[in-house]
Amino acid sequence: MSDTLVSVEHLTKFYGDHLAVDGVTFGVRTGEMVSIVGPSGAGKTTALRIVAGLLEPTSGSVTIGGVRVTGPPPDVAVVFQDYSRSLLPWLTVLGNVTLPLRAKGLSRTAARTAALDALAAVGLDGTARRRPRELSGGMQQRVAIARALAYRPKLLVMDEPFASVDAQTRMDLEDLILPLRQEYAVTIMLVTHDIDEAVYLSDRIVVLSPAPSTVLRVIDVDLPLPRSQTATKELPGFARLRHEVLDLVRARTD
Amino acid sequence: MSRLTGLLWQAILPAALIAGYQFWAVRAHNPYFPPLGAIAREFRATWLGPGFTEHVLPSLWNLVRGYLIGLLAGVAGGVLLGRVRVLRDLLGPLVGFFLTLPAVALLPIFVIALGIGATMQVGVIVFSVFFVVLVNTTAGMRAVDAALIDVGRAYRIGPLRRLFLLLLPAAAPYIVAAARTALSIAVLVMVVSEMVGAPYGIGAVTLLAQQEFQYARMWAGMVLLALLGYSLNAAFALVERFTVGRWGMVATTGEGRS
Repeated sequence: MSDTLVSVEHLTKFYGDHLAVDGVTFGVRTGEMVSIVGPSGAGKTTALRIVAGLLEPTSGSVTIGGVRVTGPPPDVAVVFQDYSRSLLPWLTVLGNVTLPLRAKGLSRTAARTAALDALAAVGLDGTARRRPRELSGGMQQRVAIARALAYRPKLLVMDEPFASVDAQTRMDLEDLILPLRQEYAVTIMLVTHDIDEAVYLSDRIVVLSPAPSTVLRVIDVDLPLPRSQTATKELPGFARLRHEVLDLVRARTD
Repeated sequence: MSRLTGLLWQAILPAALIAGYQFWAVRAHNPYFPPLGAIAREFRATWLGPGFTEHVLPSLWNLVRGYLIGLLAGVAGGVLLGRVRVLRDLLGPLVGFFLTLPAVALLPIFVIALGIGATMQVGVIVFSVFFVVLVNTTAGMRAVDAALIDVGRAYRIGPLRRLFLLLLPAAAPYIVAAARTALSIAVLVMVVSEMVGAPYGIGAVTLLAQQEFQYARMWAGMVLLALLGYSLNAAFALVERFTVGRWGMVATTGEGRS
């Protein structure tokens, strides 16, 4: 359970002369959910894009399951922030979920079965034939999550996945993700600027400083499972962790 | 009901214009502007008899061939220019030059190179369609949302699927708009190319009628061209509605030329 799936070592990224990420090192263990938090502009998304193989680091390395990342790895799925831009409006919901599976080499029927299962798992039965724009924002982000899960990744990378939906939908989606972690046996790396969300969802939190980003602290979240929007958030432990992360994030921005 | 009244409203002005013309033409006895009856008789005699296979079909066949070749070549070229920076830098100025050059003005060169006949006519249509579609497809490929490109890369979508399921549909608003602009240009070029020494075709018959003072026949040519242009445009509106319209995208106004 405690073997390392992702290891990020001395990651550094320059954009021209601007140093965005400065020697970031952390690891994600198999089965874990790790959040990356930090003030806005803290290179969280940069770090995530490098892990997903979408961006080259200036120096340092990322290895996933012992293999060094040089481009998008086959066992990593990504949920992007903006569902309205990351779903293909000309494909149906089913078409959107099956596209990566077909590209992976699954047969038409296998892809269809996997896609329908994933859609059911995110509570979207009966929407397969609809088009993304006929669904609400929260439902569209569920499609994006289904697409990622159906891909059966070892690592699921999520970039501010709940930032563009309303507060109620956000809670629903957070509670959707928690049990799916077990069902799909997936390790999750989540970038968020929402500290409550990071504490509520994570096993560990990596707090980044403003750019040039370094790791300020890695915090273990020892809150009991399963978590609940009401009970967990009322625990003294939740408040203490929230306080700790908030102090770290705000101390550096003031 | 409201749709019907909408159609009626739209029909009022054209109907009034036609009625006004007829009212005036019957009284004016102006040989240049024959009444509708005479035009209709000539229309039937010239285009619907043996003239249909002799003149209308060859014209349309040239149009279809030239348009499709130009469209496919333009899309293919636009994909390349849009994706390959070196090509864009290398060919950009040349493409810009040819885009602003009216194909009709190049007719003499086409006549020299390809002679008079179907090859030349198709060639000019291809040329006129190609650059409009090329430039707009290039722009469309450049405008594909970076988020979609990321999706394609993150999920390792292969080149063929990436092209046909991701890039081309994403660029479709540009391509469809260009294809529509190019269609009306193609009709124009088809007619003009037939006015240069061609023995057959809608343009040739129409020009000949004018030179032989057969004004009713000349008007019949105008009417046929107007009908052709109108129905092609209407057909295209349908294509648009069932592609980009259905995807909730809006066709971007194409960059054209006159």
